[in-house]
Amino acid sequence: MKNQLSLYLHIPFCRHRCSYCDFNTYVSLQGLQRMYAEALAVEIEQAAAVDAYGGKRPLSTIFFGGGTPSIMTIEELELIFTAVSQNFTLAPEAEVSMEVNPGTVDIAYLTALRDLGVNRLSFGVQTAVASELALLEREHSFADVQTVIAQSRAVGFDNISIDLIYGLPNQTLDSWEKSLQAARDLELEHISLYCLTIEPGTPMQRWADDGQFPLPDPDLAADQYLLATKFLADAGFEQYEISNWARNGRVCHHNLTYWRNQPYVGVGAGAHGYAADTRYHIVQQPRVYIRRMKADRPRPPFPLTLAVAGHHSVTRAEAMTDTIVTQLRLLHEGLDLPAFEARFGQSFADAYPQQLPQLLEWGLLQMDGKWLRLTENGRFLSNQVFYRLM
Amino acid sequence: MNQENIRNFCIIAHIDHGKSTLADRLLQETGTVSDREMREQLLDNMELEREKGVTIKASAVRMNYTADNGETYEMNLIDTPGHVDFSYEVSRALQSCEGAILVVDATQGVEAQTLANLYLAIESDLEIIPVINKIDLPAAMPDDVAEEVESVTGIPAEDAILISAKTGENIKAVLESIVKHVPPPVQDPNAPFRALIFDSHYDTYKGVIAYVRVFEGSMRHRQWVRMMTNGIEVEPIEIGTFNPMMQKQTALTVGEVGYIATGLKDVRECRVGDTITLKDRPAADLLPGYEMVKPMVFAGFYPTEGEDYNTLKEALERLQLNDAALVYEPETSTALNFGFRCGFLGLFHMEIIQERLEREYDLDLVATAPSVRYKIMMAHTGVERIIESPAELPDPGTIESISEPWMHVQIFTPDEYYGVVMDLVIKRRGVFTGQEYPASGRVVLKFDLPLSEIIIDFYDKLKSGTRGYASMDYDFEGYRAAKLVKLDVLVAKQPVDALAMIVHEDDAYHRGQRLVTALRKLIPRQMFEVPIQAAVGNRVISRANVKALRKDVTAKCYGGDISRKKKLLAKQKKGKKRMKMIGNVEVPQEAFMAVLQLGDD
Repeated sequence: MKNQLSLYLHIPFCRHRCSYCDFNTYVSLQGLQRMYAEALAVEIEQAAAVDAYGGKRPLSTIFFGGGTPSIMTIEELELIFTAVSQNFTLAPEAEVSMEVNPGTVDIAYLTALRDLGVNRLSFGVQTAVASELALLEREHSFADVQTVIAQSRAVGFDNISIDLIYGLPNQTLDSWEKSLQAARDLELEHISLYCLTIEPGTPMQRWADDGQFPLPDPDLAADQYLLATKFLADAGFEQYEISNWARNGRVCHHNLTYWRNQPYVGVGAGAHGYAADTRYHIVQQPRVYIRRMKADRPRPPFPLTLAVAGHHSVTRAEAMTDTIVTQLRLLHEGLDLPAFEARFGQSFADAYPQQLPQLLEWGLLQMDGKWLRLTENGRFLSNQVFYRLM
Repeated sequence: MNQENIRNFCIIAHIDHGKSTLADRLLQETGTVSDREMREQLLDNMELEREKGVTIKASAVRMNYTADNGETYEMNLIDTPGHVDFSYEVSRALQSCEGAILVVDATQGVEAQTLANLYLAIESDLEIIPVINKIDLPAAMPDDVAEEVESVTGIPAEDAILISAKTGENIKAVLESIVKHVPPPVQDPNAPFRALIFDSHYDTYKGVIAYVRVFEGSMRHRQWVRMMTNGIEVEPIEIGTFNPMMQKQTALTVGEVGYIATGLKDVRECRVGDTITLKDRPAADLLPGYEMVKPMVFAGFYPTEGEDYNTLKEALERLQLNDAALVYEPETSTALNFGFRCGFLGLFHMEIIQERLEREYDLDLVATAPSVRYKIMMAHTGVERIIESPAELPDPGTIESISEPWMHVQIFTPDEYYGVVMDLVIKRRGVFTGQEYPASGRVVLKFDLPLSEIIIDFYDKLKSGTRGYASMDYDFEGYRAAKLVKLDVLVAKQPVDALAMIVHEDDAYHRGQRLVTALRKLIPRQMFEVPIQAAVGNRVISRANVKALRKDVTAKCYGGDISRKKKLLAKQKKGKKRMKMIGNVEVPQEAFMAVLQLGDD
């Protein structure tokens, strides 16, 4: 696992922007897709930094996120996959995930994805309740979800995940349970549950400001979270991260890279990356991104590319924070105390002499031999733990 | 200058009625300041004054004016502060004059402060020259306002001078009227030297500079002077007049207005109202009317960041150099740690000091709710104690009685707001004492009111209830005993000293209830349930709980981007750092000012 490296690719295009979304995505730039795919291929080559002797870095996971990755044509994706395979080595068991919007793909597309090497699909389902889909301005129905998952199974996908959102305006415990039941009936390998954050600048926030709906009650969200925890446990899912559940050990290895604070390369407009003790991010605007990739300039050292908008070396203090806010999210692993001490030359208890006892006393953290973990109660209050340990 | 050709006058006006603009025009008309040199509102030195449109400190200027009769006059304009908190300084400035220009806005009419200062001027036997300003405005009603002025001054409406200080219209008429109507000073040039201090400021090189009006005799530079109330004797560094900047002179003679740079390091050694005489030939008596102004309103000022304590201390020291009325002493609060208990002339004075600390010294402050000075008669011993902070109130069992300062208040308002003003005052324990109708549609309501009820939110309520039309003036009436109790606030069962207040027994219940409700909204949810209680003695009169926090989670870090999440956590941590700890409870700074936002309903 020592040389493990993950690759994130960002596809910043959507047909339509959902009411809660503040991601780096654009609804009127689809004309740029082809050029964008070509630019991505260039950036992949730069980011891979294959040495003079042809030494390629091995990838253990790849993740296509967006935006809407499934908006890309198969030809465009082929360009990208070719660049990946030319510049990295890919283990046969490597996890290759792609986010897909229900209602936008057909059997032929899914078959082609499979042929390209995609082996894990993640569908943005959000809710099974029609009125909630409407509020979120999702363009699909729950029937679309059932269809696309059946089709995916038919073409051989055996690792499928969906996202659901709770803490929605006007969402009740009952309606949330309906979504959970519908999700259970899809017989998935993996489910992610996200609590809605009303982000500044989104239509959702404007509606909230206008008083079009009552602000979601944080206590109800906590009850919804508890309900989901019980429900999914009963359905055979294991919660391995604050927001993630898996059946039969089918965890998302790509996301584990993030939570273990391990290196990953990020390419594409607005992507973030962390490798060689450097955190960096790529320019957000697709046009700027494409222009940067056309520039004829010497490539900066690994993991940077000509599209990098900012980067910095991770300091010791930052690395400590990063380790805490990522590793503690993993509920079964948690934070590796001996590894922490070995890396930072200071035991965790010495680094946080007041905070640690307080957090243990409040029952937000627990110690189990060499591991420090969030308690059940600490999961939904994790920011209270994290900011105190910064 | 021949005494006959000296005219000393001031301008009385309500805020925004155009006093400063008129002063500027007079300076221009007399050629004292060239148009090029003219800074807007030259007499208001401080940035803050200009922004608030208020003259905070008095100032003075000498102008030479050649009148239509061909004679040249020395015209001394003494500027007066425009707010009720500085009424003592106003009275000293008025005493230094023989005449006053009463400026009234042609669109607004007479206001409470104008009237209060007018009465002071009449008491000081000043010749009043009514001037109606802003006649260039479309909404101007100069004839109606002139009638109103006639009804309050007795000066015929047709004698009022109609001007526009903005356009400069009719300014010369004002100067001519001063020459004609304001009498020259008539005092003995040969008596022992007596000069009244009507203002002062501190200069790093010249020490305290006393602004004076010479009432008798004369002095030459290098002559030693004596402050008559404290006997302090100094050789002035220089003496001079304001033209309009300080200009050195070799002598100050009877009737003149000028300055004496004393070299003293403390404004308290050279107070407004004191009389300066000569060491070698001292006068027998003080000029009349000396009072030692005392602070009336007190509040705790605490730095938001503990490390700013010394900056706050130095800033208060510096402000005090120029402000004899500002007092402070170190205070410790269990909730707010180290700060200062500061005393002010009034709420406005407090606001100015707070703003200057924040603006000029870049300090972030928590100010506790203002309080007044209570007199406590102790049982058994019969000793009287004075407290300036609710936290100092002794055990009720040991107290015979508590008295609090009351004020005479007059409120000037359009009569349609009669009911609104009455309601407000009655809710604040006010006692109606009388009313006058100086003009049709306008009423002056007179009340006695406890100062403690005025300093919290009263003025804002008055303004909002009357759409900004009412104006208010008050002066100290005396101490009256009342059934007062200390209202304690407990957060997680711990009493919070900085939130305690002294209230009338009858108001304790609903004030406690409102305070608890306000605090419940201001204190964020913690890791455990936090009870908030209001109590009088051992009796809890109101209680509310801040429920334990259940949700504080970032669900998703998109594409591994933890930088954004970390930014939010850093913000959260910074917010926490600004909170004050009460036991284990994190309380935001705003909570300590909750009492100011209680409202009356």
